[in-house]
Amino acid sequence: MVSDNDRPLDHLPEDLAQELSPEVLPDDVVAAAPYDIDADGMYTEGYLVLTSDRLGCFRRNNGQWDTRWLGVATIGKARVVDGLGMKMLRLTRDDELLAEYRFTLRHAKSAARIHRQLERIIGDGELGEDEPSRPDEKKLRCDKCGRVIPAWSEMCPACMNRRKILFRILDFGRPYISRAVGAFVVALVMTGMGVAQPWLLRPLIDHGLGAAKGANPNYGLVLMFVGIMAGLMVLRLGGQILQLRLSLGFGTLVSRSIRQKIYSHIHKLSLSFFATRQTGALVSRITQDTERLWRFVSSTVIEIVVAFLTLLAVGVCLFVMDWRLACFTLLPIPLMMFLMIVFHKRLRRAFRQMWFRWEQMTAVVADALPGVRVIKAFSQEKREVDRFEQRSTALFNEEQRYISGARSVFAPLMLFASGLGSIMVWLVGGWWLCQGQTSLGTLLAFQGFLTMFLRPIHEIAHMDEMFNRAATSAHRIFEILDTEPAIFSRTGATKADDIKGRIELQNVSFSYDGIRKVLHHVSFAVEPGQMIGLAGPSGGGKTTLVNLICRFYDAMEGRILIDGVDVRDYDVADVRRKIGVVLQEPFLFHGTVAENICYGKPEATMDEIIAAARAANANDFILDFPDAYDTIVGERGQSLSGGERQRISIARAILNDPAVLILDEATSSVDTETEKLIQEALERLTADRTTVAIAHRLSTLRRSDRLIVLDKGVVMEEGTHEELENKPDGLYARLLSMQREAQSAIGLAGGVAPVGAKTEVGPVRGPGRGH
Amino acid sequence: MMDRQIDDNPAVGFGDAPLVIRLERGAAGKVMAHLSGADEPATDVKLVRYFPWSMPEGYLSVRTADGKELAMLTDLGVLDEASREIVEFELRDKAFNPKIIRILEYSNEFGITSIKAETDRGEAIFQFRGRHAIRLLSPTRALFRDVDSNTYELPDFNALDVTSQRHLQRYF
Repeated sequence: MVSDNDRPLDHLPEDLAQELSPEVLPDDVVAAAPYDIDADGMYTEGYLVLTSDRLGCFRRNNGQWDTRWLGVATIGKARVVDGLGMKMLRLTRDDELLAEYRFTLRHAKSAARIHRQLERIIGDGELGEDEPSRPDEKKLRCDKCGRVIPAWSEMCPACMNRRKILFRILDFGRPYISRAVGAFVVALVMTGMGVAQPWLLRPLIDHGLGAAKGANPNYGLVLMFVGIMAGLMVLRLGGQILQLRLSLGFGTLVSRSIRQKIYSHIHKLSLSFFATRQTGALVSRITQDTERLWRFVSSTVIEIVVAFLTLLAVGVCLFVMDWRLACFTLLPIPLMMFLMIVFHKRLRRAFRQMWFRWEQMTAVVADALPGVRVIKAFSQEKREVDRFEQRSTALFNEEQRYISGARSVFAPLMLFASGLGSIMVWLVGGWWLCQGQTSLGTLLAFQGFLTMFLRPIHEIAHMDEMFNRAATSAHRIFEILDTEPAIFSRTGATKADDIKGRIELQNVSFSYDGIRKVLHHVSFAVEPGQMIGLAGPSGGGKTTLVNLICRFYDAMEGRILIDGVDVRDYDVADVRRKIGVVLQEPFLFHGTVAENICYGKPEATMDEIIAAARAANANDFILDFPDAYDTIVGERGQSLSGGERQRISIARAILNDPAVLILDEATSSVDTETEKLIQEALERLTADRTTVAIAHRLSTLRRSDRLIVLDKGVVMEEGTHEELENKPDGLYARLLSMQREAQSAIGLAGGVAPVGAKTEVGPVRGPGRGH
Repeated sequence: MMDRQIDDNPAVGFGDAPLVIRLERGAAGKVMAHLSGADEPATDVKLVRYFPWSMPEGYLSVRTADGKELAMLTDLGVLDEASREIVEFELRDKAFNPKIIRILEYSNEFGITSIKAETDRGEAIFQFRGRHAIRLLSPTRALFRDVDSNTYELPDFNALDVTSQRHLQRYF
């Protein structure tokens, strides 16, 4: 059996905790992890419990716990080995296997955690802080019930309290409550007027038209009733307009507050939040979900209330008019309710199946169209079309089943059932009319009332769905609003006004997923004004290192100091303002060139913008555009080459005048002339600034005061270009000679080809995690 | 020599890759490989499947502990029995890929499908979401990948009992 625990410390089974209790107290436990595969490769239920001096292994065996304790001092080395579909924690001493524990991937994280702690105890006997929790990362399972959380939701839909959530939405409407109350009152009056209409039919027919026994037609009376009806109609017209104005207005006000609040909150969240979610899903939360809530707030709530009131009012009217006839007339109602419940279920199930096929079909399209060049180049159009037709037919078949099975029958059946009420009125009422026990006016009024029944019943039947949908949307929004940023400024954070730019990394380790470490105990220091080049094969951890210095993430272990102060003690926004970043593929926003240059400093003067562009060697090409600095770039704007974009982003950084500069060099080669212009610009930018450059170009590598060569998250070499170049068997020397070979093979002049760029570099390729 | 060429295309082939002659157990249970053209056996080698799912029984890579390929093994028939046993043991021991025998429970809630199944490794409960979780390896063979990236193989849809088949019908 696979056990259901994600946080083993809190969730050790009770009988195991009891078994441990006299000897091992909860406070002694450093880490615990469930392990679920036994030595024969079968599922099992077991736990590893680590204290500061020993490791306990417990395995359930016929209601007993098989126990084995292992002194940590006897363990020489702990390693996590990847298998196919599992992780193995292997404990050895002098090459001798002491124990091996196997985990399905479900427990990979807890296995990694226990491994980390074990390593620490074995290594220096010191227990460190474990990974910082990242509250804004998407959870896989619900903490409360252990259910898997769907991709579209932030929290377990089974555990959410719908009523509470819906009240929370209405809370957003508090400032505009008068409109809501107004809309509600108008809706009440309108319901009353709506019911009055059929009610008036009875006196109109019985007395005005003289259908009642002993009555004569009286046009004066007819005119009076028609007048009242017409008056009511006019009133309802006005009322409807007023009600819609009030309720739709209320809805838009509420959705505006929600929309703005969620967008501003999203910008407070850190990169780990965005890394675990798709941009499209976030966009739909800001747009679709708020739109759905708008509909809910502005119409659904009132519709439901009106539906209940209408049913009630119509029912009362019927019983007051003729309670015996009412009893017969309402007979089909339970039948209608029953039909709705049955079909509701069937329709939903059929719809899900259809959705599944539909997704399969759209996947083919989504897959093929971006690759249309490849399809054409290999002339595989027919295969793609066949694939689509196959899925399309599967969808068609499912649709046929849906249509014939439920969809085509439901609405006619409902109409039929409601028609039964009308038949009843004529059948029973007609007989009583012949007997003289009721009047024609009553019968026609009943018919009028019956037409008012269908809609509210339909609405109430769908109420559950509508509430669910709104609650889901609301939940997705509130979950974001309730997410605390993982990176935040501590209270009393230090101001970063005069940063000189000394950077020091002390024993920094990091993992994105809590399982695989991408940096291992990295330490180095950069003096103010120095330039450090980070080199090494892709997947080495260069980008991660830069992410930590910018504080996009916090280190898992160790510290990063800027001017001797832990980056976590600075105000986040403040410290980032002092760090300039030039990215590999610079992002340009839709806007003019000038706006893009002064993105980080919107108050910059024209003079400053031009000066920055000149320093970045961008002035000349910008002036070549007909609209010069007013040229629209970015999406749907003037298209710029890679070299041009880069120089704009250099200008951006120059204008910002940061104390620390992060440079992620472009790997794509540009022509020699452009290369020279970029180099010049970079030289101006990096002069007298602490620079950490992810370096690929020989020119940058040579210019760096020091190079740090990273491979698989470990600092392999450190020194100047000259020192490392001549180091026999050095990783850097090897990368360099490979680069030179490549250059001479291609016949490239000028040393442009990248070292250890995101291309393959022989056998030293790292795990490759492009963050 | 393993000098294979693919059709008449001179651009592809396996060159002079060494052959695996024999495998044996070394110290601490490590696997040692005797390769053609080498005097010393390679110690602590790993066996990795080229196609873990589409062709689990063929195409193995013999690699060093730090991931460098030493040789390719495509036909277990060339090995003696002891070596073959080592291969089979290693492949089973270093992989955890339960095969579904029977579906005990199937449910779908909020777009998350939960399956309780009897597998050749014991009973398992797993959850997956969306269409990406199921991969058809053949019209009757499928691979389920759960939310934690564990895989569960369904070797043959037609070999399932009727109830299990009804639960999984939609994927085939």
